[in-house]
Amino acid sequence: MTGSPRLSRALVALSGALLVLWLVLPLLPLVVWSLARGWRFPDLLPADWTLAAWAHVLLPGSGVIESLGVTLLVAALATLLAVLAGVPAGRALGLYRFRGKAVVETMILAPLIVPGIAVALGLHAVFLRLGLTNTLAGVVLVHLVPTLPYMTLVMAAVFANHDPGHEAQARCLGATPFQVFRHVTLPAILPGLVTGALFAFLVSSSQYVLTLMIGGGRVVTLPLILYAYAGAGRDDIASAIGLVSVLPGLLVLLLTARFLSGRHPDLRGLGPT
Amino acid sequence: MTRLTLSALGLTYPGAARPALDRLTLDLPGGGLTALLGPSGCGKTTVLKLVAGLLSPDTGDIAFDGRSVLSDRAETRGAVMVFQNALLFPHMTLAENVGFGLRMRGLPAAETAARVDAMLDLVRLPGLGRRRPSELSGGQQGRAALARALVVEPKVLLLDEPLANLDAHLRGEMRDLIRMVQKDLGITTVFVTHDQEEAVAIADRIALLIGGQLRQYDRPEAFYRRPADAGVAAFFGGRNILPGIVTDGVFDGPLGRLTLPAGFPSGPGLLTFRPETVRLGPAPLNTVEAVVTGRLYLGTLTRLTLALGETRIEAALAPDLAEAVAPGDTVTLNLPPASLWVMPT
Repeated sequence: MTGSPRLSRALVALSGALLVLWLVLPLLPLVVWSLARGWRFPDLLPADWTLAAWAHVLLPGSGVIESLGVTLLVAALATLLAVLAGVPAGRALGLYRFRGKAVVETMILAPLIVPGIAVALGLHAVFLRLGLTNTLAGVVLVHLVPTLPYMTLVMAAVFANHDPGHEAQARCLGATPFQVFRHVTLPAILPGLVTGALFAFLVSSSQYVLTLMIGGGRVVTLPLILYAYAGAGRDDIASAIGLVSVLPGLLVLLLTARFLSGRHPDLRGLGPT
Repeated sequence: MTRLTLSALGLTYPGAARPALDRLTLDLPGGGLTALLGPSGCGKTTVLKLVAGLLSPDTGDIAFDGRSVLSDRAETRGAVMVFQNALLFPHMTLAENVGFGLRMRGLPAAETAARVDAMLDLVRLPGLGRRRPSELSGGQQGRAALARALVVEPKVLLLDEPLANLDAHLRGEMRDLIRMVQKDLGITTVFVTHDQEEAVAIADRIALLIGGQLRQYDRPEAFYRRPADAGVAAFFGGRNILPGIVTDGVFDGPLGRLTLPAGFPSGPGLLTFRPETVRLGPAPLNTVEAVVTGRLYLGTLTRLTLALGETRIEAALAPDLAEAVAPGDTVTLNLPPASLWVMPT
């Protein structure tokens, strides 16, 4: 560490404050919009305030709260599937060399490169034949298209730094394959796993095109409602819904913060030695 | 006390041109400590992984007390490997690391704790159970890894270069600890090393592997006195290797005619003798005259290099005897017949 500790502490505090501002500032106009009864240029603040938009959003009739539940459910299921597929795939990519590995890596990135609408059009035909359109299961599955690449790539990076020696050691000490995973592999990959799952969850909960195409308007998530009101010019309600859609991300972030901060007991000793 | 038998064990890694292990046959008596010695890349660690069940051989068999264990998975086989770099689980305390195998077997917590404490005492880490691996020194980590393996009472203990990562002063301590604990518990142990002095100091028997092949399997002193071939002699630091022909118990070579101990068949051979068996002065048998070309004082011994025509030999003498000899002198030496050994060419 160079420079005085006071200076470095001040810099850390400053960068923290800037980060919070950068994250919170864009949300402030939403708060104002959601509480305004008309907000015209060049007024700095609305002339009149109302809770009408919030009342509409929070009352059952609008379906916003229900769609918050659907959003959370779809994101949770999509994340779970992404973890179940992404961890083994990431392990294979990170630990082993095999023929065509570079091709596989490129193919995994492909869904992120191809525009979502193109993917959705193609998949729609397939899902139609499988009877998966207009169903929650179909939406969950199609959310794997944008989430699985993130999950797999994060896990590949995690496993590239993973020493499988610990697993061999655990096995010959008498641990079954499941015990090896539970007690040795999982603690080692947990920080990466949580990061990847967080990505997957956030990507899923903000999907619009894929949900609309495959869900056919029957599976209503927050982004769908949000776009509907924004398109209808109801800036007050759209702003309130916008603030509600911050909730899923905030929720998982709070739940996982202890894993990401490096203070979780499972992570002690993994720091620089 | 489990007898470990390897029969014609062979393994070729995918894509490798030569086998990592070429039909290795080895019978390790129960309760003994056998050093698997050889240069880097000779297949030593491969043998350990095969015995532990972490690899499967292409050919051959591994048996514990005569029963093949090839179909037993690593977790049920009862052979525990201790890796070169300790590999303590970083997210567990020392006590949790040592108790790992017992917890996986579902032993009650109280019994696990008692056995872990006893084991920590045995490897001289008492009271450090709550430490994290990152808070332990290299030597302590090595002892912890040993304790973690011993606590599950393995049938076979497999040590992969356990001294390699230690400082010189810790190496002897760890070596003595391994030997003491191994004798105490009577666990059949395979100790992999590339250092022949380490192997000689610790092992009951040494198996020398070069290029995936077993070259000699014998008691430590045999490798110095009776090496199987020139490669073995060279690995054990043998400098005096001279070609010649054996005729009726007499070796005819660059040093003249030397009387051999009984038992060598006639025919071409390679003569070898340890530098420290060479004596100064004449004797009724095997007297040789040579010119001193170099003298190196090594503390307990003085090493002389000598020339006899084109042939160079080495002798190691007590320093006070060697003091009278200077480079350029012609000296009379004798090679006692009992110190001579002839290897096949």
